[in-house]
Amino acid sequence: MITLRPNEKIYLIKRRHRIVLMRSLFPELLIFSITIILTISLFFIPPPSWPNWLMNFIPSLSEFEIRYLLLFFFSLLLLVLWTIIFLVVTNYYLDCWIVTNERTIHTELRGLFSRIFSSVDHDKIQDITIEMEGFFPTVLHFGDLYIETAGEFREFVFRQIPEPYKTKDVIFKAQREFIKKMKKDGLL
Amino acid sequence: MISIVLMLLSFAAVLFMAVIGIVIFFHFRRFSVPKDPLAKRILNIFEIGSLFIILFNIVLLALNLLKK
Repeated sequence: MITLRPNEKIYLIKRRHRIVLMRSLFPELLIFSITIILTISLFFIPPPSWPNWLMNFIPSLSEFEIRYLLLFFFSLLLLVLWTIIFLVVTNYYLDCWIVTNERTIHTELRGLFSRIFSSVDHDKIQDITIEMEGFFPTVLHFGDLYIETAGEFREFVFRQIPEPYKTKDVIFKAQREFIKKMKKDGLL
Repeated sequence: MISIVLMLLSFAAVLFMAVIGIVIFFHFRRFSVPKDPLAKRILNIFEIGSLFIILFNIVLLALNLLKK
């Protein structure tokens, strides 16, 4: 679990827009739905017979019932698709940006065994730029938000997040509060 | 021969799901936001769905082997 500093409060958690998830899940969900429909229909329709060319190729197949063998292969396909769907969901869900009262955190799953975790304190933020390009981002109000920082970490990017303008306001508000607190504590 | 191939296929698919499932669980445990109820719900859906499909697969494997 992501560990926060003592007295650190989460203001905002941002993930990519849901349309991005839907777009990447669409092929898997389509094949998954078709497989489920085929599986259910196999229970009700009369069983098809083995094609002759297949019987000539593998004669021992005649020992098996085609309906159960097809159902078995569909169940295998469902198993693999279910796993892939959850991999895509995990990739989407754990790729997030967290704005707290002290810093902005970014965690990203780059692959099954590769992960990036980075954070930038609010006092290091110099400027924020928003980019909304294309038909869907304009209509659905999502886009990229770039944070320019003063440290070695030059640019911090929130990709395809919904309501980037509101996010920008929250970050600036958190920054003002953080700098005020630092000045009060004599740290700045 | 075909029975052995079916069993191996089933075993490979379950193994694939188990490995990916463990990795997914690990990532959620390690990198999710503190006190996130949705993460728990996602994992529950994955777990229940996986168990259901694995059971379905095993039942069909048994049916194929018994109805020979």
